[in-house]
Amino acid sequence: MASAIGSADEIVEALPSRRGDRLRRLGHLARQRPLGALGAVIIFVLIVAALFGQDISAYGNTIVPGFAPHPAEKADPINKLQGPTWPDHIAGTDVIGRDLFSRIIYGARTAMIIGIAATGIGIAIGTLIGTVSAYIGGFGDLFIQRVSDSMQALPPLVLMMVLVTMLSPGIGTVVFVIVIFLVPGTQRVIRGTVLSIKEFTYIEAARAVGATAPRIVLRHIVPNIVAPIMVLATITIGGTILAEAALSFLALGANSAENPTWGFVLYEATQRGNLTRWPWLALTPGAAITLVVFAFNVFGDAIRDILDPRLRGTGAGA
Amino acid sequence: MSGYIVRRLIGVVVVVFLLSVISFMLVNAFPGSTAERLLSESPQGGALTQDLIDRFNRELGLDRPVIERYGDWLWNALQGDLGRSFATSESVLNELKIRLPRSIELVIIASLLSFLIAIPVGIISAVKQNTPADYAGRIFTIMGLAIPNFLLGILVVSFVAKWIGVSLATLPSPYIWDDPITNLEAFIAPSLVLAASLMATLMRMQRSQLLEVVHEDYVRTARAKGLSERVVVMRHALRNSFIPVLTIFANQFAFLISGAVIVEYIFRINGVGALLVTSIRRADFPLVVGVVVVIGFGVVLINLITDLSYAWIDPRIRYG
Repeated sequence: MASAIGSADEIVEALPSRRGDRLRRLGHLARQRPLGALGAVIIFVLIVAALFGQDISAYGNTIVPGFAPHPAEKADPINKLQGPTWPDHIAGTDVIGRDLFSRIIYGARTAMIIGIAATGIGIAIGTLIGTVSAYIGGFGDLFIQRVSDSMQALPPLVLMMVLVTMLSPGIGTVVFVIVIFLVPGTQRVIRGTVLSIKEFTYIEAARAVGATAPRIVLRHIVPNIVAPIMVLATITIGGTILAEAALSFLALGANSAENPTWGFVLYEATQRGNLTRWPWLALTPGAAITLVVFAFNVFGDAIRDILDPRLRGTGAGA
Repeated sequence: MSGYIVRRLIGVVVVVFLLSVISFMLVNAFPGSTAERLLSESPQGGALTQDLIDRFNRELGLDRPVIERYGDWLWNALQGDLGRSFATSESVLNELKIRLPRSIELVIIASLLSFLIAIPVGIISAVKQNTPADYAGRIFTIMGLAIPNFLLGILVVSFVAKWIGVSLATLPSPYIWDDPITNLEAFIAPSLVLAASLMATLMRMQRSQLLEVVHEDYVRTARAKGLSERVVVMRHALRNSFIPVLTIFANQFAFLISGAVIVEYIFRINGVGALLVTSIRRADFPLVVGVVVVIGFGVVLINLITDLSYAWIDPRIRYG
C-alpha cells in the first residue's frame, strides 16, 4: 500500500512505466509467437488498405509510390496485359487494362467487410442458439442439435451455392449465407462450453436466490464464455474470407463494379486469360487471398494458445 | 454393439430426411425464378409473358403447394425415383449413377493420399521435434491450410501440367474399371490438389497428438522396459494418438466434399460436383435436391463409419 501514501507525482511517474510493461509484454509475446505476430502485421496492413486504400489508389495519387494511380475499374485497353512494372502497375494489368494492384486494394475492403460482418453475426447467433440449447436441455436441445447435424452434413460450399442462387448475389446475400454456414458449428462449440459451466455451483446459487433464466444466461453464463467466443471469432475470419473467395471464384459472390472481389478477379483470370503467358493475372489475386487467410490462421492460433488452449483440436475454423 | 449400430442408422435416416426437407424447401421457396431462368435460356427466346410462366409452372407441377410437392417427391424417392431434370428430362438417378463413380473415386484417392502422406510426416515431425524435418513439415502444414484449393487447382492446371508436358483437362476419363491406368493418370493431379488441405490438417493433428501422448506414463514405462524407440512409437504411442486424427478426418469430410466440387469444376471432371455447379446455374432443382441429398448421405455415412472404427482401433471403446 505504499502508493497510497505516495505523492501524486510518484503515481503519475508510475503510469508510463506500466505502459512500458505492456509494451514489453507485447514484445515478449511477439518473440514467443513470431508467426502470430507476422499475422497481426499482415492483418494491420489489410485493415489500412481496406479503410484508406480506395483514397490512396484513386486517380492522380502521388502520395505513396507503388500504389498505382488508377481507379480499379478504369479500363485502359492500350495498356492491357502488361506485366508488373514499377511504379505504374506493380502487379500488372488485366485483359482490359485495369490495374490489378488497385483491384486487389479495392477487394480488401469487400473481403474485410464480409469477413468481419459475417463472422460477427454468425458467432453472435451461434452463441445465442448454443447457449439457449444447452440451458433448456430436453427435447428442445435435441431438436436444435439434430437440425444442426443435418445442416453440418451438407458441405458448406454446397449449402452456400444453393442459397446464393436462390437469393441474388451481392454483399448482403453472401454475408447471410456465410452466417447460415457458421451457426451450426459455432453453436455446437458454445453449447459444449455452456453445458460444463451450467454445472458450477454459482449457477445453482443464482437459481437458488431466484434469478430468472434470462438473467442467469446473460449475467452468469455469457460473461464466462467470452474467451472462447473471441478465440472462435478470430479463428473463423480466415475461413469466412476463404468462403467468400470460393463463392466469388464460382461467380456466385459479392462482386460488383465498385467492389471487385479477389475470388472474382481470379475467376476472370481463368475465364479470359492465358495464364501461362500472363501468370500475374492469377498470381496477384491468389497471393492476396493466400496471404490474408494465412495471416488470420496463424494470428487465430496464437490468440487461441494464449486465451483458451482448450479449444485446440475442436476443428473450429478449419 | 449391434444395438448401437441400429440406433445410429436410425439417426442417419433422420438426418437425411431433415436434409431433404431443408434442401427441398430451400430450392422450392421461389417458384417464379425457376420458370424465368429456364425459359430465358430456351432457344425460342422472345418475350417472357406471365402466360408462358404459368403454363411452364403448371406443366412441371410447380403451381402446387410446396408441402404437397415435397410429399410427392418423398413418396417417389422412397421408391427409388428422384425425379427428372428440368433441363434435360433425364432421370436424376441415372445422372447420379453416371457421375457418382468418378466423384467417389476422387474423394477416396484424396483421402488415402492424405492419410498415407500426413501420418508418416506427422510422426516424423513429432519424433524429430524442432529439427529441419519438423520445420519442413510445419511449413507445409501452414501453406496447405492457407492456399485455397481453387488457386492450387488453377496453378496445377496452367503451370505444372505444362511443365511436365501433360494436359490434365483431357477428360472425360474412362471409368477405373474400364481402363485403370488412363483413369489413374487423370485422377492423380486433381486428387493431390483436393488432398492438400486435409493432408495439412491431419499432419498437424498427428504431430500434436503424438507429442501429447509421448509424455504419458505408459510411454515412459515402455521406454523403461528397454524397448527400442521404434517399438515405443509405433506400438504404444501411435495407436492412442490416432483417434483424434480420425475425428478430425470425419469433421473435415464435409469440407473435403466442398473441395471436390471446386476441383471437379477446375479439372473438368464429369462428377457430381460439376453437375451441382451446372444444375445450380440452370436452376435445375430436381437435380440440385438429388445431388444435395446424396452428398449429405455420404457425409453422414462417413461419420458413422468413423465412429464405429474407434472401437476397432481402441478395444477399450465399446458401444453398448
